[in-house]
Amino acid sequence: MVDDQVTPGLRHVRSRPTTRATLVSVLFLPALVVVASLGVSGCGGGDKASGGSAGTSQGSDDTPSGYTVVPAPSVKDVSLPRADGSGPVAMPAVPNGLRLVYFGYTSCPDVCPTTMSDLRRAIAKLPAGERDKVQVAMVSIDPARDNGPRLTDYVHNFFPEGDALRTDDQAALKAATSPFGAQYSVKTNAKGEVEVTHTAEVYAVDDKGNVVMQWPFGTSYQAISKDLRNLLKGSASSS
Amino acid sequence: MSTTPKLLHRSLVLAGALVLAAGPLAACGSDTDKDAKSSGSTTTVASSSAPSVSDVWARTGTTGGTSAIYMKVVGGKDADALTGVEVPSDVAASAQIHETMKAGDMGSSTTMGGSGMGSSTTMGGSGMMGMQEVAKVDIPAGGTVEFKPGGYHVMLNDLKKDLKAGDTIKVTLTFDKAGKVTGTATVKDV
Repeated sequence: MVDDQVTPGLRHVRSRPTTRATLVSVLFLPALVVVASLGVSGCGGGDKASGGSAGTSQGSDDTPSGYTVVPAPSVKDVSLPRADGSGPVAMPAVPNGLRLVYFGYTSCPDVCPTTMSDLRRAIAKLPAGERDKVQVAMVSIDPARDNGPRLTDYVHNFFPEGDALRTDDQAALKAATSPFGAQYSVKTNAKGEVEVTHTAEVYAVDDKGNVVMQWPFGTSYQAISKDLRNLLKGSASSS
Repeated sequence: MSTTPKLLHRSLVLAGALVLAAGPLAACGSDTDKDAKSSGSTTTVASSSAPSVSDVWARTGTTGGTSAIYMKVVGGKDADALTGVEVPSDVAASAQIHETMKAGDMGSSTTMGGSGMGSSTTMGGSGMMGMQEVAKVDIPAGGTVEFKPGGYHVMLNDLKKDLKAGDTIKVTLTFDKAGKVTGTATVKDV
C-alpha cells in the first residue's frame, strides 16, 4: 500500500497517528497556504506601529483593512501646484489607477516618514504591472516651514516620481483639505515652538476623483498593499 | 489535485511540510529592514542593575531636516525614569523625547509618564494627530518601554549632516537615578 510506504515519513514530520495520516495529507496542501500566509503577515506586522491592523488581517482576502466613507467624498475639483512650481496636479488618478494622498509636513519625524515608508513598501509589494497605476502625493500643511526644495526632497526621498504639493495660499490649502475631511493646525506655543497637528490618514482617490478608501495611521503596509490590489482589481473590472 | 498520483501527492505534502517549517522563518528573515533586532548595541552590561537600551535605530534624514530615533529601554533592578537623550552636536542641533498622540489627548499635561509597556496612543478613526515633548518617561523595574513609530521617539531637530542608511549615531540616555547610559543607533532607510 502506498499509505504504508509514506506514513512513516509523515509520522516523522507531523507526529501524527497512522490512522490519521491520509486525512492529514489530503487537507495539508490547502492548509499550508493559509498557515504560511498567516505566518508571513504575522512576522511582518509584529513590530509595526501601535494600533496597527494586525488584528484585522484575519478576514478574507476581500475584507479591507481601510475604511470607506459613504457616500465617497469627491475631490475631483481639487488641484494643487507642485512645490517646484509645476503643475497643478488634479486629484483624480490615472485611468483605472489610484492616487494616494497624504497631508503632512517635513518637520515631522515620526508619523509622516512612517506613513511614507509604509506606502512605499505597500506599493513595492504590488505586482510590477500594478505599481505604476499608483501615484503618491503629499500635501504640505506647513508651507511656511516647508519651502519648495525641502518638500520636494522629502517626498522624492521616498517616491522619486511622487508629487510634492504646496501652496502658500492658506485659503486654497483649506479648500483642498476640506473635501477629504482632513484637518490640520499649525500653532506656535508659549515656548516659541511650532506645534502641528494633522489628520494622519492616507486617502486613496480613484480615476473619477472619489475617495474610495482611507487608512488610519498605524495600518500595516501589508494590509494597505492588499487593499490596493483589491481596489485596482475592482477598478479594472468595472470599467 | 484529486487526479494527482498518491505518491506524488505525498511527496508534495512532504515538501510542503518543509516549506511550512521554513516559511515563517524565511519571511521574518527577509523582513529585517524593519526589524532592528541586531542593529543596536548598548554599553550597559548588567541588565539586572542599571537600565539598558537595545534595538536602537534612526531614520534617514537630510541636513536641516528632522529624524527620529527608536529603541527599547529596559528597566534595571529599580524603577527609574529617562529624563534626557543626547546625540553629538555634529548630528543634530537638539534631541527631544517626544510622544506621538491623538490631538485630543495633547496638552493636558506637560509630563507624560510612560507607565510601562503600553503606549497611551491609540490610532484609528479620523482624529488629528500630533506630538509633544515629554519631560520624562518612567522605566519600570525590569520592564521594557519601547520607543517606536506612532509612540515615543527621540526627535532630532535641525540635522547637521545627512543621515544615510548604515551610518551610526552615538546616543546618550540620561536616567534620573542611574545616570548616563550610551547606545549606538544604526540609520535605516525604512
